[in-house]
Amino acid sequence: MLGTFNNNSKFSKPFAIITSIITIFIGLYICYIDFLDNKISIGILLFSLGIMQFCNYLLIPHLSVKDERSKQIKAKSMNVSYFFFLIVMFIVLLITESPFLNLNMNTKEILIILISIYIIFIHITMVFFSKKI
Amino acid sequence: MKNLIKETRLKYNLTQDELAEQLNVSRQTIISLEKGRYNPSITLAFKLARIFKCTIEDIFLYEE
Repeated sequence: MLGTFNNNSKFSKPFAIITSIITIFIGLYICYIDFLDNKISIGILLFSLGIMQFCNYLLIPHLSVKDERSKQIKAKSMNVSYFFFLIVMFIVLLITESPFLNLNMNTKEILIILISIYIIFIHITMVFFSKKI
Repeated sequence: MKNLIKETRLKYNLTQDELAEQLNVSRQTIISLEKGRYNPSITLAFKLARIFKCTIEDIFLYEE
């Protein structure tokens, strides 16, 4: 299952990197088709899931054992992501209400972008804190 | 906070993997502890002291 950590890292690491590469390529391909059609669909979400799997590949040695350091990495990442997401939501609110920008985006498209940003950011911060702590 | 985990571990001929297994933590945690990037909880410090048969003060050097 995507996004889960298994103690058997000999299997988990190759699985994470292979699924990461496949998902990133499929996501980029769908994004390219969507870009030509001038729309936003599930491609960005797939791309973000690919980034998430790549981050999992880097995080497996740190988070495979549920010790106090892994809990600290997750807690710090959640804390930073919480404030980041509040700022992102506020910016999105300003952009959508702005009279200067004429954005034709529906709720589904905005949600896809927000979820993608959140998935990418939370995992990148986890990688950052795993290197820092 | 400085520590003497690496020196004490080598004195006991333990690898990072073996120490990690005894403490029930990941090897990355041992690496972080030895580099001084991560300060352990009091529980983990007591576990380390028990494995190395010494006091916490013998392993961790507190500096103000």
